[in-house]
Amino acid sequence: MNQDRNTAETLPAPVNSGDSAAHVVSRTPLLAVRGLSVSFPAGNDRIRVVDDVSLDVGRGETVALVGESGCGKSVTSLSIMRLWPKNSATIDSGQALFHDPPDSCQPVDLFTASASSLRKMRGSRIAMIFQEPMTSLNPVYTVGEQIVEAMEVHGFARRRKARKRAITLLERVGIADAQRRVDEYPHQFSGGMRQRVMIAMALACEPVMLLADEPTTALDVTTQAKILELLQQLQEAFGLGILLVTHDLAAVAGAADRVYVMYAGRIVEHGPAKKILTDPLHPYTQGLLACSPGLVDMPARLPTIPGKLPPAAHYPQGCRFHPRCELAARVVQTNKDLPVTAPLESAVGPVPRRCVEGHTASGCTAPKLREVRPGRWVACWEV
Amino acid sequence: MMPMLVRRLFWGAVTIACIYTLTFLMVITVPGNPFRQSERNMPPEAERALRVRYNMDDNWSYFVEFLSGAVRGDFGPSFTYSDWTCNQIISEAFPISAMIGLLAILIAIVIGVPTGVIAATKRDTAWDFGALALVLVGISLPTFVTGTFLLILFAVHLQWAPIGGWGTLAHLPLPALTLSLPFTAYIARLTRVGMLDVMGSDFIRTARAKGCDERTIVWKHAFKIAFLPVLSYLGPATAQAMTGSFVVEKVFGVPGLGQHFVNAALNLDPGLIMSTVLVFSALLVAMNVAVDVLYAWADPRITAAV
Repeated sequence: MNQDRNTAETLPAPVNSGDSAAHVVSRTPLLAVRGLSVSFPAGNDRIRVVDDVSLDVGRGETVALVGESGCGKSVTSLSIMRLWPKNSATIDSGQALFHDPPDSCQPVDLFTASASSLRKMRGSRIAMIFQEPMTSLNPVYTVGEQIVEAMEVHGFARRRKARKRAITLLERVGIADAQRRVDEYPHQFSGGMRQRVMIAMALACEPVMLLADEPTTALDVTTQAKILELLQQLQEAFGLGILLVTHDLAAVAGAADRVYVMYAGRIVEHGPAKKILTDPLHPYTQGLLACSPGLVDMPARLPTIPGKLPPAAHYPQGCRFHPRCELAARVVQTNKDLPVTAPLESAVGPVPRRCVEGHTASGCTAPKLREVRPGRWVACWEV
Repeated sequence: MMPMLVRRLFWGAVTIACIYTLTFLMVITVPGNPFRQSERNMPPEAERALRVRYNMDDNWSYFVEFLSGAVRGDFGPSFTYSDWTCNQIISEAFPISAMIGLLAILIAIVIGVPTGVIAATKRDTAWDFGALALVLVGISLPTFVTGTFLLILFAVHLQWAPIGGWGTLAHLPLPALTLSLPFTAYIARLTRVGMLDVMGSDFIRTARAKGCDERTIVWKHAFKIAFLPVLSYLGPATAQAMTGSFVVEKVFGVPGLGQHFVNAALNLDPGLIMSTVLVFSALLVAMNVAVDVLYAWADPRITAAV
């Protein structure tokens, strides 16, 4: 545990790159998101749903972005390719540095790239698959036409050659009788099969990076496992960097190299997947893991994290998790001057001294990500 | 596909039969009498003789006779235009109305569809409001106002077109344009709503993620689906446009079919009423079947369902 909370206080103000630059992990970089903040219009106001998020994906690495529904993880993944309809979300600040080719020293910032150069990268260098396989394919074109289009758009392959490759890709993602099914329409495929088609389409131009936004959420459990297994195989075969957005920690266990845990629009913890899964440091991560049913010793009643994720317009001051945090449960009782929200459930235990002090000393700002152990970054006053 | 076509045609025939029966019932129950139009009273023997000559002495035999004639393509004599058969009247007037109507529908598609697409893709901009203005004018102003306006502008002031009548190609554009306005407006509105709906779909996001440019997204991915409601509207709209409009024909002095719908009813001319109604309903059924076929071709999900 970090003994010196002053390290946190001496870090620069959390505007853009602030603490972000501090935890760059040295590896072959592929995608480096720095200080991403995204907001949505709400009347005359704007609500910030993603706040100063930084993350890295290395070449050939699977990085999981985990958090509960509404925490901003999908927003983060969609922002990387700026896949927002006009007049909806805006990226307020940040960079998405895309290193392509991976060893180039001149990365492209996807947030400032021109619309046409971004379009050239979409699908050809960075591909994306989505949560809704049932509606993500155009119902009036055959799956073959849609895969071929992905190649023709970027001049990767044309006509007969593209069609041949589409069939090969469909076989590669495990669709039996691809020769015939290539001419079928999406409604003739099941949900899992459509997600396979989406994956085939995403890989058509041999991208180096795949953004997978909850690719298995809409599928049944056995199909989920198969799709994740397929993604892993393909990653090994193609050397893809994958950003896997999910709320399912069980999925992370098998698939990811590193994990970012997101809560209320911020990263609260990140580190190697194995470490985080066996020894979570942030109280929120601990809560999430306690909530996942284990296969072996199943408790009679699953523990839950008390309360629920507040809507983005009402994120609490200070540590955003503190109203639901067992550690912070006594902060309010001990320090009535703090503008912190009353905890939902009082826990029995010692008064979290550093949490109180941290909030007091910082004027109730959020704790920043600090490297508390080598490679382990946590945003919590107590840890 | 084929069983669908057969089924649709069968139900089309049933529909026409129902329309014929209803029209017939109205014609025989409506007060008044085709033989007593003039001031002079016709001697009862003469009326009886006329009824026998026109098969109208017995309702049931008239129903059967007219129907069997209509099936063979013979609508019998007109009562008002005594030297004309209904076939002659229709074959004279229908090509004129059909020509104006087809041109009107063509104009409606060519103007209405892009207007709707532009309004949807440039939502809440000046383009959108301009399109809305066109839609409002087209839907709310009756054709005798728009027709007269076009007549004054293009025929009187600019003298680009003849004031009225029929016979040359120059007579065609103004009535067609007038007739097209309500259709244009409705098509623009349908297209706009359809496009807005489709542009929010997940597969549009997929197309963006693939790297498609906006033009491909709008015209290839969204339009093919957004056009489907327009397509189903085009069936009845084409039938309606091709059978003429009483108002447009009056404003421009065009000898089309539309006037006969109204005049036949006013003159209580049973043969002409039923023949014009039958022509319209047959055309309507045919257009709807054509739309069904096109629909199945455009949307593979439909082919699977029928």
